[in-house]
Amino acid sequence: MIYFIKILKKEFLIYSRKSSSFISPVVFFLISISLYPIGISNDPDILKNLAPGLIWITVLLSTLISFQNIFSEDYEDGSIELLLASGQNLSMIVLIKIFVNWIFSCLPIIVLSIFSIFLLYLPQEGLKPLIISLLIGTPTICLFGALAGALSLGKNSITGPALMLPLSLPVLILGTQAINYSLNGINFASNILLLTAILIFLLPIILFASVGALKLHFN
Amino acid sequence: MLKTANLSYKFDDKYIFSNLSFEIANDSVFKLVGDNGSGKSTLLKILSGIYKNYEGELSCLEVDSVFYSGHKTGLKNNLSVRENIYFDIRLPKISYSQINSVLKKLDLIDYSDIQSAYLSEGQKRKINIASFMLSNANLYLLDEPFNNLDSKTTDLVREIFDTKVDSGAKIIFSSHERFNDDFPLIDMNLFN
Repeated sequence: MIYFIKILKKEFLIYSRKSSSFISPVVFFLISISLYPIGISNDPDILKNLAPGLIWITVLLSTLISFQNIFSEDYEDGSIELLLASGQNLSMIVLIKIFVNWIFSCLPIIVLSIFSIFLLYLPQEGLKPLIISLLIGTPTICLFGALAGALSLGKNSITGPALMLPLSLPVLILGTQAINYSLNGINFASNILLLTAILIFLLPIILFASVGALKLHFN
Repeated sequence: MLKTANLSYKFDDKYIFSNLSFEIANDSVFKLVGDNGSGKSTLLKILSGIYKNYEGELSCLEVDSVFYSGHKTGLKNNLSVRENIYFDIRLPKISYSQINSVLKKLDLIDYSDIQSAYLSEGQKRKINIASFMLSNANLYLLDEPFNNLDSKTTDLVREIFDTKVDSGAKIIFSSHERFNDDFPLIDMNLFN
């Protein structure tokens, strides 16, 4: 346990000093959200209808920026070799890396998505499903990002997103739908439960697959 | 004891080395020598558990913990020298005072708060030597540990080899230099 706490502290320290890890996704998100009223329309009715999809797509694209590097730095500096040689539970280490990545790249975006009320005229009743669906949906996207990152180590930068985006579509659909349901007065709990089920179901599978993909690079 | 029997490793249908058999008892140091590409680093990666798809037999008896140090240092550029050692996953929980005493021996104490990105290759290698000094593993696998080191640190590392061996550890390290010491050799050229 001490070993995993040590890795958790190390990852927090590394991310906190690597400003690009959390500033880049946040800046991308803010710029995109600000551009939609200019590029699409400044009509509140149009933006209000598009807001759920626009926010979710922007969150998805923002997280892509950070997942490119989730394992690549460790691969290049030799840390992954040391992890493999340590004989420790690699799934747990991958989980820690995904968790810290989510804290630094997704959590700030979720907080900032509140601003969409003002920029995209999202009605206040859409805020609750937006925040809940992002809180439950983004960890799943992080899992897909980790798997894509592990599979695309040492390959060109388009391989990761090309793997991650199609996998994320169900989460995107359920998240957007939850907000739309709420705006239309329909109970959105089923969507949140489905998002939770996807997260719980995929967590062990993707951790196992990511560890396998990392090991594959050394065999 | 560390024992291999007919150990072979191939990459892209070409054998890097084949039929390698040796036994290493506790309290001993072995040096891997050989030409570039003869499989020194590959063998160390197999022994450390990084590479699994070898042929032949490998058994590590009475080996509780392994300390592996490869060509790549595993250092994080945005962590200081002291932090890199403190968070080194190969080490048990250690205090800053223990780290400081080792850094003093390696003439790195003045750099302890500097991020490793700003250090020379030799200084980065010294950070790995500091971890090696602080480790209490019983099998050490070191890939060219003397690369980029000055003569003073090289002598210090040789002294540490003796200390580790006296405490019952096994050390296997790779080197390009055959004749500058009297460690028993495993010549990888013989198995290509």
